[in-house]
Amino acid sequence: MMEHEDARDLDRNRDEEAHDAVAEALRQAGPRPELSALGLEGLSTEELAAPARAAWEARLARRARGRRALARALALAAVLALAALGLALLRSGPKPTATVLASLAEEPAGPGQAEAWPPGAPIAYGSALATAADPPLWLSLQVGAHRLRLDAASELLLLSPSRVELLRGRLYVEAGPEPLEVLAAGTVSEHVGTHYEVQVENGEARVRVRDGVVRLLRGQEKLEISRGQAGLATPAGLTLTATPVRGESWGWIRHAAPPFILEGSDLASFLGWFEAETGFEVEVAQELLTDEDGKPIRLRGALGAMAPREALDAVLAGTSLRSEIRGDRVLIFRAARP
Amino acid sequence: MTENAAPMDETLQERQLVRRMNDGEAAAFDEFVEHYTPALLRYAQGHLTGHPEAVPDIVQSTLVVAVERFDTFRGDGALGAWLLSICRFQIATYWRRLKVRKRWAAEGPVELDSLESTGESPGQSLERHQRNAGVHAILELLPGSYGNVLEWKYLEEISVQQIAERLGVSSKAAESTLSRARAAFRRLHRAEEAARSRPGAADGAGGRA
Repeated sequence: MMEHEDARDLDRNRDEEAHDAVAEALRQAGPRPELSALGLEGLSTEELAAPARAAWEARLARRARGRRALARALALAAVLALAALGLALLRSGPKPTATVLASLAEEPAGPGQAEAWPPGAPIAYGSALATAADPPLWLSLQVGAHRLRLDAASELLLLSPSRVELLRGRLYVEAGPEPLEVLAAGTVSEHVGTHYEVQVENGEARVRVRDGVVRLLRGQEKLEISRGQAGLATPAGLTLTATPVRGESWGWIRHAAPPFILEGSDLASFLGWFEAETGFEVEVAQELLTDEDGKPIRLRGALGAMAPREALDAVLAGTSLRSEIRGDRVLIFRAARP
Repeated sequence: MTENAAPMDETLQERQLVRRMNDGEAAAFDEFVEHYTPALLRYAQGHLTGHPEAVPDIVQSTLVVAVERFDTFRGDGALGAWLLSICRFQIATYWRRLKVRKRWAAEGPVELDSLESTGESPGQSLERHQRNAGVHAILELLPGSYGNVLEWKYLEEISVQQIAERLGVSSKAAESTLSRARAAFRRLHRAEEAARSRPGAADGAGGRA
């Protein structure tokens, strides 16, 4: 009886707390303005949702194709037990896997080395990946919402879509919109939308941040690492030092970089890719990213094997824009008329 | 159940919506965009002050990412909070890519002129504007009449009896609805405030300080 009364008191207290908190938040914010008062009139939900609808339909089609292929394989096997298992799989849907985006081996490749991880190959969580040192092999992976690049002579354990462990070597992270924990030599790195590298060398972890913020944790120790900083986990503690955000020491990530698809992309996306790949900060006025009608400047063609700097020159050559490097920045400006 | 856990009926409804979409039900997709797009518009607009042309792109990319990542939606939290986290990330990426922070530093905070003058610093004003947009987006995300009920109670300051009359239900039912609306609002609001307090919070405020 007393327990029931205690529980009711607790609920009442919570409700009163909620009442105060909600009242304060709403009074500060005021009433919701009409969308038209926010300058958002004329935006139809249908138009806004059109790309999502296309993505949804494509995803359904992919799943349907996957299911049809599986059903055909089961029919070929003609084994009742397997067919029953297949049906169970169809009902529960495919288990999530990591996916190989690209694998690049330096010639001469080891026997079947790159072929072992062709683009699109699924890798089950719980798997360990080891890349060879000689000849070197680099891997690019989609893990959950994140893109990871694994250096040659490295070993990575894929624990889940939000957790990996670097056992040795180097890992580069292009973080997606969801949490990711990178375990390395007794440390945990958590990101806040960023690009960074984790390295394990001689049993010590080092994290270098190219963009955004990474939180490095070890037991009760905590270190926040920002762009241009490196965090080192030594037996003495976690220390912070300055680090370049571009240059030769980052060169390895280019080996495993998935290609940028230029055709149909827009200039802003290309410049974002250029920043991510080179570590330069691009400064560009927004009006230079759109055409006279205010629409994003669309790009055509292919980059082939161009390095990012060459690609930038090639892309800008097709526009009235030019670039200039100033320290760690690349300025984009309109060329003066002759 | 912890205080932050979503009530079973709400998470169940959201999980069912995601499952219906995963099953290819067109009506579920329409329901999804009709309910969540206005909230995303409010949120993006509030965090892209001075860049209204970017709002549709951010909302579109948020919806696309959400649709492609439904497999990773665990269903143990609110779908609205999950969508706002994706939207926040898209906005942060936008600011990072365009480096408007530096352009503002060079040209002055032109966008802030459009905010009302309250004697606050531009940073405080922007912060307040973004918080308010977050609150409005959350009201929009709440299921059913919850958003209206909260506005009636705390902004119009009408009685529970009057709320009951507007809803066409008994006072007891209105009280219960109000209580559930408060809990739902608070859960989303806490998630939003927690996200804002993280380093490099992905909404441009940190980027523009």
